[in-house]
Amino acid sequence: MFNQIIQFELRYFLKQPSFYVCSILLLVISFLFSSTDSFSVGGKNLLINGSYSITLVMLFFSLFSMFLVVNFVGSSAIRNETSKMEELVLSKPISAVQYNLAKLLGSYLVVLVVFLSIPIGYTLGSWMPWVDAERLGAFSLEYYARVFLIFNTSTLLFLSSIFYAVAKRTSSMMPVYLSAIALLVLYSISGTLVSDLETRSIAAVLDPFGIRTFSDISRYWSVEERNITAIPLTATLLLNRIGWLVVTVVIVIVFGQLKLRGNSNKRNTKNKTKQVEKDLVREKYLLNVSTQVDVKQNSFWQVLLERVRFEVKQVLFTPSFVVLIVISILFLMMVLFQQVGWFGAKSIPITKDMVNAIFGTFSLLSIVIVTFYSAEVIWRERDYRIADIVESAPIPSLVFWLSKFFAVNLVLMIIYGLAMLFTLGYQLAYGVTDLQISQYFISIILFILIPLSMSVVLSFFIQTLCSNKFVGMFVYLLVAFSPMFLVELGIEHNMLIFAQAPTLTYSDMNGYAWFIETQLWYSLYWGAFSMLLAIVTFGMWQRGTAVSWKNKITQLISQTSNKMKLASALSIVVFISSGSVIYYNTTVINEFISSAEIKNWQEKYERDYGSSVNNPVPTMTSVIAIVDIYPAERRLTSRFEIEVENKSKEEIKEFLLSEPNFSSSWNVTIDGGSLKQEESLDKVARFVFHQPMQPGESRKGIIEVERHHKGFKDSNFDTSLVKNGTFISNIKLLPSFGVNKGMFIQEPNERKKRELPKLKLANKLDEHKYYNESSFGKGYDFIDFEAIVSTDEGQTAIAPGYLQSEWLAEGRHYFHYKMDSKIKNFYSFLSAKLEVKKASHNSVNIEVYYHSAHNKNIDVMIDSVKASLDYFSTEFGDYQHKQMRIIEFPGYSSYAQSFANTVPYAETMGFISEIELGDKVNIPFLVTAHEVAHQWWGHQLGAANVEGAQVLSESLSEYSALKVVEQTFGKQAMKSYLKRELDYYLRGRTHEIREENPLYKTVDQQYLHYSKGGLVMMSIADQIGVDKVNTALKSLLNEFKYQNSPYPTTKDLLSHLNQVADEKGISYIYQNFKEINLYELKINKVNSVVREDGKYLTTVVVEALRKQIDGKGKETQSPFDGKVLISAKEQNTEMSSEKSLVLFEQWHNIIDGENTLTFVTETKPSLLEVDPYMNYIDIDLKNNQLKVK
Amino acid sequence: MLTISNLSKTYDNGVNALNKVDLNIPKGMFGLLGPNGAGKSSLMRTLATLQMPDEGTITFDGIDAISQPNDLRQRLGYLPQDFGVYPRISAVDLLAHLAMLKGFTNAKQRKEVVEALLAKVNLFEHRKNAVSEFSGGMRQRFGIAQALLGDPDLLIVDEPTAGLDPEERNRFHNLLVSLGESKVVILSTHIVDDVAELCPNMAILSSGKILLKGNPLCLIEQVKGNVWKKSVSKEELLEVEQEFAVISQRLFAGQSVVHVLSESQPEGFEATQASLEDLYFSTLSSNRKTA
Repeated sequence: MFNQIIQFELRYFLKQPSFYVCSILLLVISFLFSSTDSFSVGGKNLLINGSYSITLVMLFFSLFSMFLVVNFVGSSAIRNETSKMEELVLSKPISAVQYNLAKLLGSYLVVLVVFLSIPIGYTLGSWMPWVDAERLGAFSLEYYARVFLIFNTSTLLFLSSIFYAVAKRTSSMMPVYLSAIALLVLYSISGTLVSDLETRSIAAVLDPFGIRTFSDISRYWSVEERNITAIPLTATLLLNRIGWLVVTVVIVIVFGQLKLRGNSNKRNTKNKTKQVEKDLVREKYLLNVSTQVDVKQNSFWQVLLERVRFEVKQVLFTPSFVVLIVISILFLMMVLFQQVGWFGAKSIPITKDMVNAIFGTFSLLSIVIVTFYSAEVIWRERDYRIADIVESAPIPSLVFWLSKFFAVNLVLMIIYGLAMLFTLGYQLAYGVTDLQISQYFISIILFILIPLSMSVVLSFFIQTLCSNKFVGMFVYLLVAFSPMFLVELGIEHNMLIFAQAPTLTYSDMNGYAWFIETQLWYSLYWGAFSMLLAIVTFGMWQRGTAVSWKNKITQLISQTSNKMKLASALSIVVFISSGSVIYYNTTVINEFISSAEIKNWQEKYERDYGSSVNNPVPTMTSVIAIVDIYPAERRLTSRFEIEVENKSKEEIKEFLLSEPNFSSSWNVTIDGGSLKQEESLDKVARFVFHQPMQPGESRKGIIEVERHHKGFKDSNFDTSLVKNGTFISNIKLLPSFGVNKGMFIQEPNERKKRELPKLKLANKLDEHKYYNESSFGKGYDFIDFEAIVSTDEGQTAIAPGYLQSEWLAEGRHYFHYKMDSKIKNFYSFLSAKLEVKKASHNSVNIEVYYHSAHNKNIDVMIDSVKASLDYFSTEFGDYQHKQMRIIEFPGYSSYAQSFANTVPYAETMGFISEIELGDKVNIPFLVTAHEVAHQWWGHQLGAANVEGAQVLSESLSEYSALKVVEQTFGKQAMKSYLKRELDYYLRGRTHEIREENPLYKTVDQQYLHYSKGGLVMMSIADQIGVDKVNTALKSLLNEFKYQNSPYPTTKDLLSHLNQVADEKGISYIYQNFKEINLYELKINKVNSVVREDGKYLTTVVVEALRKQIDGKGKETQSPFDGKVLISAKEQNTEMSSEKSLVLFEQWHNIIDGENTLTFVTETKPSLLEVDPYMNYIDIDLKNNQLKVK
Repeated sequence: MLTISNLSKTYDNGVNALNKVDLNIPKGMFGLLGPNGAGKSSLMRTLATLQMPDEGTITFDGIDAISQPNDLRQRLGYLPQDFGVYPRISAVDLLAHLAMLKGFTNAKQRKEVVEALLAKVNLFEHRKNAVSEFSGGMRQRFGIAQALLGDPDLLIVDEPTAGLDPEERNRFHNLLVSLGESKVVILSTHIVDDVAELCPNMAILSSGKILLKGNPLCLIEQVKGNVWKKSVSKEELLEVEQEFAVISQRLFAGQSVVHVLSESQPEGFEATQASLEDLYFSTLSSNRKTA
């Protein structure tokens, strides 16, 4: 009996279309996850079919399979009621418990079967030929099996039982949907509460889906570990899984309502006598009313309105629409609450970010909405078998098409409208008053809803052509996701991808830039195309049930009215003419280069010129720049009077130059030579001296570069020269001298495909010949600098140097800047309409130039500059300039950069960061201090062009910035800053694509030179004393200040540090700079007793471990031996229990294994902590402290 | 009034649903008789502008149904053989919606007509209930009501009385007859008696072909005096079937009564009044023989 019921369930679902639809849908999505980059999870450095990626994908899907379970299990639970089989079944002699359990198990098995299409789709996807072979390991069934058996089966059983119980209790699907949503809401909300280190482990135990359990287990796994470690059965995991299985059993027993014959006496017994009497009178009258009323051919608009009203009602007043709304808002909530801004600081919810959150949340959901609702409305009449009646009504097919088109668009409008209201509310709750409603409307309508309405047209077209709803849905999904495959095939121009247009990047400073213009043209172009599709669609509209292809085409030809023909002709004209305009703008007056063409160029460049990468080039020593910026026209002319010197030991006969990007014309003249365009490759030129430059010889020259943007482009926009917020560095504006390695193909797999040798990322630390070369590259040295920059009257133009004079002439605003000391050959020109706030501090002028709306953090930045200047000039030496300026630029890129006395800051960064109170990190303060520190580390102290160069600039700046924070906010406040550095480092190393270097050899590894560098330098200051560290840094700076032959390396840094360190300190420096070590410190036992004298004797057992690690993550045990800080805290009874006082902090020598320490204190300590300031890189911080019993 | 000429339709699966159908239908009730699968519904759906014929023309009162489908739809009332309804919509709302599509733009008039029609099909009491929850008979009556919307000049009803109880059926027949006075009403059915009772004109359709058309009474004249009946046992039945052209056999009081067609009186048979049913069956059986 039991088995038969289960088998019946299985057979039943095998005959349901939903079974196949869900399976195929999951198959396709998981296929996309493994076969394309756009969806990939886990990280691009991981194997696609490695353990971690597979586990994460399958766990992710178990969350969303909730709706699968609702569909199958829920509907199974109440199928007897809905299909009116109830009485037939209930009259059979079966046991209720058996019957219900069998049904539950049966539908659960169906869910499992459907769920299996995920591993199948994922595996199939990974086998596709275009998938990067580098990212594939050996196929392992075990990885799939483990996550499926350990997590998915139990999660799905839990979900099945809970939804079965709800469905049984309520006999209706709606509450089941709602409970699924409630579960999702609770889950996501709880996610925001448990992001802390402490609560993370609680979340790991409680998570019914196991996602947080797994992420807790694998948080700091190295790349290698992530690829090959099958899920380990840790105690947390077992507790989690067994716990939820117990919950499942309880739910089934308590709430399963395992009884069969229920209470179906729900008769409506309202007293209706009065109404009935009235009805009878009316009915008698009506019987004599003539129904022979003359009706006229009704007007198109009236009937359209009626049909629209009807369609809208059909679409909106359904349970599924309510579910959709709730899911949408929920997704949006998840996105908003989890939105992390710059450097982990929360951002103020400005409108641009809200719109982006809406874009992000609904991009995928919109495709789903279009797919399902199109299918639903197009097939509704046929699905309900009322097509014959409705479609024999005297109304044109156009009315059906239009009303259905409107209904689907209305769904989208409501979703986006609600999303907008929700984010507006979020902004208001946050206290944002500048809501920029017009930006919401323009972005949502022009950039989302209009393109989506074209997708609806396409989906209608496909549904009309297909003879089956599900086939239509499938075909539409394929088309909707096709852009991802088209890119692989080299089809990139937005004119070739349906309803696409250049992707919007909004900037508060520069507004929509050219994006409205492009969007309008592309909308016209695709709109005309959609119009044609629409005409064909309703020309082939089926009246009544399905007809053959042949018939549809006959109908299209025979029933096409002249109006339709005219409209088609008009559409074709608009399509072709707008297409011509776009084509002319994007490929004739502007250049359109496909990514394949770019790579081909890069390959040829490397093959032809790669061998001359070490040829000497002239080095600039002096620059006088005359730059005229015309922001409104997006035009710039520039003339640089330069002095160059041959700093090499050989004579220079010729050197290569690369054309600067986006320039309309450029020229270089240097005495005794001339410039010639290379014939074999464009964008490359050669400068030939007829009188070779001798070593040490100086010459004068002139560089002229012009940029002028006309029309509009399809991609590859110049975001540095814009109407408001021009920001161009010399590296981008000027032709680069010599072979530019940055233009080689960087991506390892692409190099492999083209059989290029492995790229040498950086020069080796011991290659002395590069010690005379700046880390910026050959030819970049210290220069004298002067500039005259002009711009439109309303804007301010800024370049490094002090303002000498400022004047207006012919409607232009001129600024003359001059530097009084040498600067690095690294400068920039900015022009924008900006507010300025000025302050003065010890004869240094501090100026912050900012976009008027972004005024919240200006004072924080100024305070940070003041504190930084104080600390650095005391500890390291004088500030070389008399001025410090911070300038905001548009958020087309997100970074802050330190030029001489000038720090451009992207608008997406510190200006809109939220400064949170409490022990949260004050990011704008920290980053400003970091950028100021670069005036010393970077601008005074250079670095040789070898590995580890970034330690000298970034690690030292990060250390200096952290010290300023410590000075300002106190030692206790540092813990959250250090914890953040530690976490960034530990997570950063899990994303490493190549291999982790020891710190002193870092190569473009931000997690090393920023996070580990900052943390390690802070720790060294703890270990050997901050005075000694600062003395060492000061002496390093004194030795190498403005020095370029040679530049310093990390070896110099280490020798200066070692000079001031004791033996333990030297060992510490060695372990953290030259090796990679992970430590494990923990307190195993604490015991505190009162002595006879009333004092407390506390015994602590500290265990220490050290693991040395190679670049790939392989670990070997090494003995621990070092100075460790032990701190004790006392619970303060007067204040809230959160606060505690530090009782003592003492240094102790700790060796490998267990160490027993004793302390005597006046009062009883409540908590002991080892290494509170994270001197030792420790993955598990939880066990660093222990409460005293 | 309604002229159908040379109408042919072959479906994708090769079924030849209509084969050169020629019909000229005047005002009044017209009965279309035919067994299941004869092509009745195909013909009806084509007349209702819901599918296009491969060949042939349909003209109604000067309107070409193929090139001007909407003009014909304006004057058409159609009750399909099998239909469903939108979920969760009450009878009065759904009928009002359909009325709107038909051209009842005046709200007051629409309400009155909708309620009157519901009263005429005896659904007034249930007007606020969802049609999807109706029983089969009630739903059929709703179908009739919607077909009568807008006082159509061409009323096409496909098996209208299926599922109706005898009382409702009579009521509907009376309604049809009263309508038939001024318009073309095409009644498709396999119930011979309905046609006999109601229709001054009829045609028999089988395998997509018109086998017979004309006035039922005149047609019956053709077989008058050629129909004979006999009560036989089960064993005798076989012999009779081999010997004579049996047009029908039915049970009466446990005995099989067979009707045969013969110009002279066969032995043991007695004369019987020829009915439309005899004509129908004889037409079908002779068609089967020639096929």
